[in-house]
Amino acid sequence: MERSQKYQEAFLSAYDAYADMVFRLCYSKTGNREEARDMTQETFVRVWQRLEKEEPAIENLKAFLFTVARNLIKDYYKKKKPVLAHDLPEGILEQVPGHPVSFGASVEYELAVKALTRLPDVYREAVALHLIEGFSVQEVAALLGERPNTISVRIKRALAKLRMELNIETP
Amino acid sequence: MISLHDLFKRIYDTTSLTREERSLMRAYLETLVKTAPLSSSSIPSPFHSFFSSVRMYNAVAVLLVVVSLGATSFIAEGALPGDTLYALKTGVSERIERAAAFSKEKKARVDIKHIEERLREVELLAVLENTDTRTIEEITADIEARVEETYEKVHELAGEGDVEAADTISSGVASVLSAHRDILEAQGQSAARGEQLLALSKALATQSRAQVQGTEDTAARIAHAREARIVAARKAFADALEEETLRDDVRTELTEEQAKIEVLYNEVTTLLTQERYGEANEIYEHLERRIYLAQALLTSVVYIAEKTNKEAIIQFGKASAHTTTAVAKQAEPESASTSFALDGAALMRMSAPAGDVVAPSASIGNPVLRFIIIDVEMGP
Repeated sequence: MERSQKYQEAFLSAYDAYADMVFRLCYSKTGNREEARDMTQETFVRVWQRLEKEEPAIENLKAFLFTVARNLIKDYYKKKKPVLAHDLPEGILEQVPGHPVSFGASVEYELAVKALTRLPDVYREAVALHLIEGFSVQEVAALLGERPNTISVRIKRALAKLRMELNIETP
Repeated sequence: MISLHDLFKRIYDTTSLTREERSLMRAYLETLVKTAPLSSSSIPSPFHSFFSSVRMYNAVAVLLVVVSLGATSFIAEGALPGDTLYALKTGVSERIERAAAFSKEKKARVDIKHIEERLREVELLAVLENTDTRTIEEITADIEARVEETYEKVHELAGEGDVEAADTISSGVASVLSAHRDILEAQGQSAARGEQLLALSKALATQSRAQVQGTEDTAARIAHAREARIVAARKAFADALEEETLRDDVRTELTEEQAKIEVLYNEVTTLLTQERYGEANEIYEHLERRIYLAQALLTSVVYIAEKTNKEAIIQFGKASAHTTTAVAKQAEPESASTSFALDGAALMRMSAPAGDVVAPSASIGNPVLRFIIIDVEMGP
């Protein structure tokens, strides 16, 4: 019973810590807030079900959440592909009623986000995980099943591409 | 000039769940982890006594296809009006469940699930011969309100161009209503609350009809979406019927069913060309179910003919589950099993050794217990 208690606590604190990460991941892939919310919730439900059944090491929860979310996204695309493949750029800028907006939706920002969403999937994923979600290069590599070197190259190329598109000088 | 660092930081800061979303989701997950703890298998099954009363011997196998209740097994789920836990069920669990479904489609799905839950309660109350009239009336009112709300969502979804979702929801409601209408009608003949049950059954029929007709525009969109699906299902059944080796009388029976399906199909095609979409949809509901059931029957008969005893049961279970899934894709997953009440008597007749007279005693679809029960006479 004590162990069960421990798992509950770990699970709920994982929710507190990573709900937004999962949400961002789903949102960036679907461009649809409602879907992303549902997917986020489903991710946590599935992770809990796995915890119940298999009790994997709790330290891996973040990576585990990511993997589950990614599988859900894959399923989503299998189902919806023809409709949503190019919906992304608009979706990500969608204003949310009731959401605390901390920035003016500047033209610059919009352009930057658009440039980001135009990156090839593998580049965007690597950049998002490393620079937005704060996974280390090693972690990103493990999550995506690639070599760390490949990931570094992807991140470098993605950044170069972004800088070029946005006319930002290399620091 | 925006720097990349700013860009990533802004995305990080601004793409997140709202506070309300976060707390709703958290409440839902908390309920999930607390009511289905790691030791969830120790929660006593409300169906325990039923199991022990079933006799599993005498060459009669009882096959139970357990309806999946979804991700969570709430302790309160089996509660009935009047029970202490009932308030928890309708007041807390269901509300959270509904609030946690964000999209219109998901909300509608949850609503359908709850409508079905209410209908099961009515049926169970009737079996228990509960004599509190008010309760059934209250539940009836609840059902009607929910159904109406769900229709509204169908129209909204169709209006927004999401025909697939509108159709899914529409089929979901209709299959739940029609399945329970039949059950209620059957119960109404004998149960203590006969009149009330019949009245509810009638109300469901009316509501289900009003719904498939819908507004002109919704009806047209839905009819077209269904057309493609029906064509595919019809062909699959025809192919299977042609391919499988069947006893002559079974083939004759299934071919007759196929002919009936074709008649309905032609009827609906005519309606479509005349742009009478509401009527077409009404037939589509019925037709689709009929095709899937015929297909399920065929698959099951073939399995049983090929296998013996235990293996046959397992295979048949899989076949049913498979077909249930097929039906579920068309309708609401949680309710599919109820609408999928396979004709146990027909299955017995078709699977029995040729020439044997089978008593029409197959106990069929006891929806109250959420099982589909089929007695299959096995082997020599």
